[in-house]
Amino acid sequence: MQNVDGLMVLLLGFVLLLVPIVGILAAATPYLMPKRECFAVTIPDAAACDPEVRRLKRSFFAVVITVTLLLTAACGACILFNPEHAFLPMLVVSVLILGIGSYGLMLHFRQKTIALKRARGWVAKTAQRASFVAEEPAPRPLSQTWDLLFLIPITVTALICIVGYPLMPDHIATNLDLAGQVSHWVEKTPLSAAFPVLAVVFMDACFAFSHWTILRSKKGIDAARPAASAWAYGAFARAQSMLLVGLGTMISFVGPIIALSFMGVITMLQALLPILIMLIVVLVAVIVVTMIYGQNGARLLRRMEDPESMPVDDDRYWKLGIFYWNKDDASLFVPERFGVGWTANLGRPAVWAIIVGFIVVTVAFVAFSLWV
Amino acid sequence: MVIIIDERSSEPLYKQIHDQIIAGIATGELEPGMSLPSVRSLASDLGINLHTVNKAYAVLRDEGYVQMRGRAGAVISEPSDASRADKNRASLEAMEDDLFKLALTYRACGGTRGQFLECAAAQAARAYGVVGDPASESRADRPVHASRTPSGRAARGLSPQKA
Repeated sequence: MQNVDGLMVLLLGFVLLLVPIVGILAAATPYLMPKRECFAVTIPDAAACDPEVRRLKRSFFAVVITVTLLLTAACGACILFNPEHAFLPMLVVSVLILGIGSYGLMLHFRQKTIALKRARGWVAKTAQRASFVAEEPAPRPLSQTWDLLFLIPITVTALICIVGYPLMPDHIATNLDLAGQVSHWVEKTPLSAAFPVLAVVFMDACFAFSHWTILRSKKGIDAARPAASAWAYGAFARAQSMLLVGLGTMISFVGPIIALSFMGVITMLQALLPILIMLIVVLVAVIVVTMIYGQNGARLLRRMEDPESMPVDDDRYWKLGIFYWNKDDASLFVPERFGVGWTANLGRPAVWAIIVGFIVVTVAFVAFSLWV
Repeated sequence: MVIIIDERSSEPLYKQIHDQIIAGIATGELEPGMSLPSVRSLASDLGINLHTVNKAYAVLRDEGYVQMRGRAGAVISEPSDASRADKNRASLEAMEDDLFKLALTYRACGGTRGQFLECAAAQAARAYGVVGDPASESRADRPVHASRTPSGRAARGLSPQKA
């Protein structure tokens, strides 16, 4: 093995874990969805017991798990034989393959599900949707006011940068190589010293925006059992909002840590350890919440008896499975159809404005940080 | 209170919402002072146009069932409200006219007076009788159907039609 620092090995090993974690979550996705959504096709809830449906889900799982194992082995080999040059590209390629590959595989199984739906004659005779007026018997996501918690790490970072500015070296270390040695510096200017603050502000703005989309989203309520599904969705949305606020605040403390490393109070290598711990906490929390709730809280209802009917068939609004297009729907954001989380209603021009705005801001920030 | 709309029904969507809210007021599930959700959030949850919900709320406002209270949005109004009482009187007269037309149509189809009264009693029992008893039905999980088909009446175990 080449000259690689011990902590770096830990970091590499941890980063390698990303591949199997992404892979397992992707493989488990069909089982996390509401039962009436099978590979982004609407079927009756009770049809989840259909042996053919079960077979399709098992096949998807098997294929994705196999590919995950192969890719993990490949990445592991890169760490052993060429960590400096081969590992990172292999990692990126693996995650891309798992992401795009599982989407492509989903499309393939979606076609099979559509054929099965036709063969079994699963047709919706109604187009029912449900909501609640007056008293809502369901939990709600945390209010946006909770995002004020982000001000704590932002303020701490700003204070450290301001107070520590005179103590910072004239050339601030910004990159490490695998041996734990600094490989890149930037000149100390007020702007470059303020970088941790700007990075944390940008990150927290992204979290706050995601929180806002959860608050504005259409609720995933099933007309066949409105109160139960409203409660389950409410619990799910609340849990996700708590993850955003809680984990977001924790991750924001990367700001003070990096600021301290700029000052030289801790070395960059030492700064990696708390960051690593934070990442582990994030991964564990996200996996646990995903497994407990599923999408729209579907796993909370899995022991309930399933309705035989199909109150509505939304297939025509979901282009290519996962892109929602419905200009007659007032919602800007809707629950995802294959995956855990929310997606945008592309049929509304306002959403395009938001998406373009988000891309522009992100690109601008990345360009700015590279320039600094 | 749950509202369920059906885009495949022949009845316009705004009318489905409007009728279900009135039904809620009638059974007491919607009490005066309770606020309705914002137009945007109800339209979003039901997956329909803002205009549709706006129209439903506007009609309810015109009929006096609902008031706009600034920031609180639409709020169920008191039944004793003067404007509502006036509108109630006018709509009662209109409803009596509708009943007369229904009776005439029924007679023209060959039904007897006795049969018509039986039908009317069954529908009245539906509107005033079973609902409101928490032990008999869990209202939150049973949709309020806007359609009234003969099979629907039979399924509810009401008195069958005598040919």
